Amino acid sequence: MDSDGPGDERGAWVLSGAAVVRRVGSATLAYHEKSGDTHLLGDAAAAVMSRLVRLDPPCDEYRGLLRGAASALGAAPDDIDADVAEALEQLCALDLVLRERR
Amino acid sequence: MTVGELDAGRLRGALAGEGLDLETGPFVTRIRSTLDSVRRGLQTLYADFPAAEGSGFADFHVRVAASGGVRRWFRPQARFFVDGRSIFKPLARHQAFPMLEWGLNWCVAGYAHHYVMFHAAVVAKRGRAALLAAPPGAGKSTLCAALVSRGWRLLSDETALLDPETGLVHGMARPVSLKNESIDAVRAFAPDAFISPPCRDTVKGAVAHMRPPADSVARMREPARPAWLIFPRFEPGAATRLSFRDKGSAFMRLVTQSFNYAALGRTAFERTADLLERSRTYDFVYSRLDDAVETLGRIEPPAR
Repeated sequence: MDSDGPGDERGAWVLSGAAVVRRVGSATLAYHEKSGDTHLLGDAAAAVMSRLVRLDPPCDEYRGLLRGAASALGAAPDDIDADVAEALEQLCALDLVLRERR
Repeated sequence: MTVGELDAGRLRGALAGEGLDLETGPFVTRIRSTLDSVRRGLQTLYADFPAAEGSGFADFHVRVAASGGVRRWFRPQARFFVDGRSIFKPLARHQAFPMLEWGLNWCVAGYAHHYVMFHAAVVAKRGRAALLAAPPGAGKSTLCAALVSRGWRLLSDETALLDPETGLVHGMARPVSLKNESIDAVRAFAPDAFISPPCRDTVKGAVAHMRPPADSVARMREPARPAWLIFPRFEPGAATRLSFRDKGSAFMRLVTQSFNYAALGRTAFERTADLLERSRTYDFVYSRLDDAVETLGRIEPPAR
């Protein structure tokens, strides 16, 4: 896949299917191929993920969704790095924050 | 030909010579050994299994042999070899048959990566499989032995083999491994079952094996469609409790019981998700085997 730079390349890698998202029952699971880890996502993170995986590689909407998710969870927008390669890990971290608040 | 159709002399000759090709579900293992305890174990516990005197294709080539040197006489030991390599530390010779069983488990877990493998017992009823997934000591083999003595078909007491192409679960119908208190518990629950004399002082304590029901062996090549994923736990004195578990946490727990989830990567993720989608998921606490069998006998399968 063409890319304009390292950040875009990693982002494209995440969004082009390297991060696989599946609904199973009421749960959303994400398999992160780079690390081989499987994540169980909470509702908020899953909603964001389901939108993210339908977007083209790095774009304003993508970044906006991440920042919106952070805001909804009470995190400062700056807590979300715009580097899309880390999106999945960030969402999982947000998911943990959400669970703790519950 | 089955193992039971070979008389002791012929079986001894095969094991000491070219080997015995033992068929267990999708695998053929060529076994060689001159140890009488290995021959006796095969003759009694694998009597109904198809076998040939080593000549065809075998998936695994194993040997259980007496240690040499001073260990032939002083605290005699046995060793287990796969393809000529010793893979375990030597054990006391009286543990040679359990060592063969552990070695066969090792072969499957180490080589059968065309399946997604889970550390789970598998039993089936009317073509629908229940996976009993639990870490060692949770009581899954005990529950498995009880269920197969009451009409469930045995696929495995140890390893669920999920075919990524079909979504079906395969088994081997090998003997059920029982440990410590579970030996007497299963003897009392299923007095007609053949259970080998306990082999004591192993790393797992006393170990005995229950001969699989003949019908399960006859149907060992028949896979089953997963219908239930159950996480059993024996809890002394507890009332039988069957409760739904959400599929997300069931997924995450099941993958911790996989031998090759990391090795198969995305394929394992997708196929495990498929399995969860098609199965009902439960936690199951039990102490009384009769209650446990009755409770599990009542659960309904999901729609196909």
